[in-house]
Amino acid sequence: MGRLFWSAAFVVLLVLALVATEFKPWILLDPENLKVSSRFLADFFPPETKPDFLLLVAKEAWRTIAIATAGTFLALLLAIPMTLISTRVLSISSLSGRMHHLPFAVRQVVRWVLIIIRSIPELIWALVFVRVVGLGPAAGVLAIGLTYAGMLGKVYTEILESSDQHVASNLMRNGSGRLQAFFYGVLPQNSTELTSYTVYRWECAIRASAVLGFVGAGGLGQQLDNSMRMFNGGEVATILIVFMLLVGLADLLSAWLRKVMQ
Amino acid sequence: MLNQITTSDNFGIELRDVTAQHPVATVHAPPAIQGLSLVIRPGEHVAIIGPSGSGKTSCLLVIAAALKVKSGNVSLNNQSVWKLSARKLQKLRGNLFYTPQTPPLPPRQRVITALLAAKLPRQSFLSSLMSLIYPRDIKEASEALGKFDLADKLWQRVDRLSGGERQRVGLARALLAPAKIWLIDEPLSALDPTRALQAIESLVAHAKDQAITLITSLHQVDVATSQFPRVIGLRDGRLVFDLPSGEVSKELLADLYRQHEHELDQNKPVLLDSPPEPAPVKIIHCR
Repeated sequence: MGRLFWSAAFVVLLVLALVATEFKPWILLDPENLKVSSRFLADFFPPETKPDFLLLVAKEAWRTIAIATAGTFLALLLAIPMTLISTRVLSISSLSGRMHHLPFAVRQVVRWVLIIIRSIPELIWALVFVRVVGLGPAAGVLAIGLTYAGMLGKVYTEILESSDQHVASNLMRNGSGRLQAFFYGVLPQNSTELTSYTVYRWECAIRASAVLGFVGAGGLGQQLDNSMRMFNGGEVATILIVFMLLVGLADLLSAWLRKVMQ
Repeated sequence: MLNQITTSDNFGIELRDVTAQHPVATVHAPPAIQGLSLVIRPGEHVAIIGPSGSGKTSCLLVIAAALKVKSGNVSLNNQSVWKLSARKLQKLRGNLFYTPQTPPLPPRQRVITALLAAKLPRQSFLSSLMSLIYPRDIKEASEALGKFDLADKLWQRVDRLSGGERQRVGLARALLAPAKIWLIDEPLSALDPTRALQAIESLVAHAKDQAITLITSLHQVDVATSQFPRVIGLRDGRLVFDLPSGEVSKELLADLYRQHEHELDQNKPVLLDSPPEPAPVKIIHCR
């Protein structure tokens, strides 16, 4: 009975959502629209391969990697201490029953800081920072750094808390410090998961920098914006291919790192 | 500050009318330990026996300052444990070495690192980080492992070890810990009788040598009575007897294990010194 009700409710909700989003996929098949989209897609071929354009793309791709890397690094700088503060795994007072009030409050505050900084999309941060530091990659780095610090901090904390905690708690019970317990008890069990999530975030940062480019935060995204405005499908195609290569590269890197750390 | 605790003599243990409940237990469950009073002098060797669920582990956790008591008083080194500040309590814990039945060894860690983790309480953070990169005290760790016949496993990864080897690595950690009191929970559960005897003899010898107070919970009644001068019997969280091992009679044991006779019988072959039977292998879960 309950299951039937919830299934029906879900279908109703889905229909309402489709209506609200004006989801009418058949417009895509409208002859007039088909002509427009096929013309746009036909433009993509062949991808632009002029040497000077390729050089430009290579330079911008490098800048994109730089933005993503610097942004992720900044995010790590913020996320690691916040993770260490906010995770319950390293609480000494909760070794013997409930956590004390003050540490509990501190953990909650850090958690809320993480929520606040990640709830604002990187695009909004980028718009803010473009105004503060001007057009260019620096705004992108700051935007990615802030948003991703919130995401990394949250997920790191969850990874640590869902792992086997008895090594760390045993070390602290025997008198080790929190950070010692982290390096000897927590990190060895979670390093691969933490690394692969970090590399995944770096991959996301590469993609995010594309969007940020549209608001003038530099990199491949800005180039993509330019080419789109010029309706230069060939250039757009080349840039998209480079994006795919970058994401594939991140995937390879992650797989390799995990293998090395096994 | 550290010296204050370490130099001021003894590390006697006193439990007065202690009642404690395991943190994961439901509110209405009967306390794991009820009205327990004990005095253990520094350097004593004590075995705690009793059927499963009798509160052996909880008793060790209470002494280890790991399980907060509901009522009663625990004092270590003449200090009431739960009246200490958090900082002082943590410092005091550096003098205790509690090791659970399933040894706390991270699967991907090397044996040497897992061993040296026992030394952390007396190491500065920086030198413990350095030791992660290049292990210090390799010789000491290797000697400790050698006492348990595992010297060749020093550079192995923990997840390459068998359950019994892991348990022995867990025990070898004790030899490295800068502790005055050892609280060892079921040290022999994954070992065959020959290894078990060797392991317990190594522990007892080291504890005697360093004047360490050794308290273990044991399932093997014969090991308890033959290796430990003092045996404590627990049942349903209450003290049943606390006697020199020579005075622990068959009748007392039969009474202690009433309705749990199979746990007592399990040890009979070893008691009679008949050919060793493989001990029930404990599955150690690792992720």
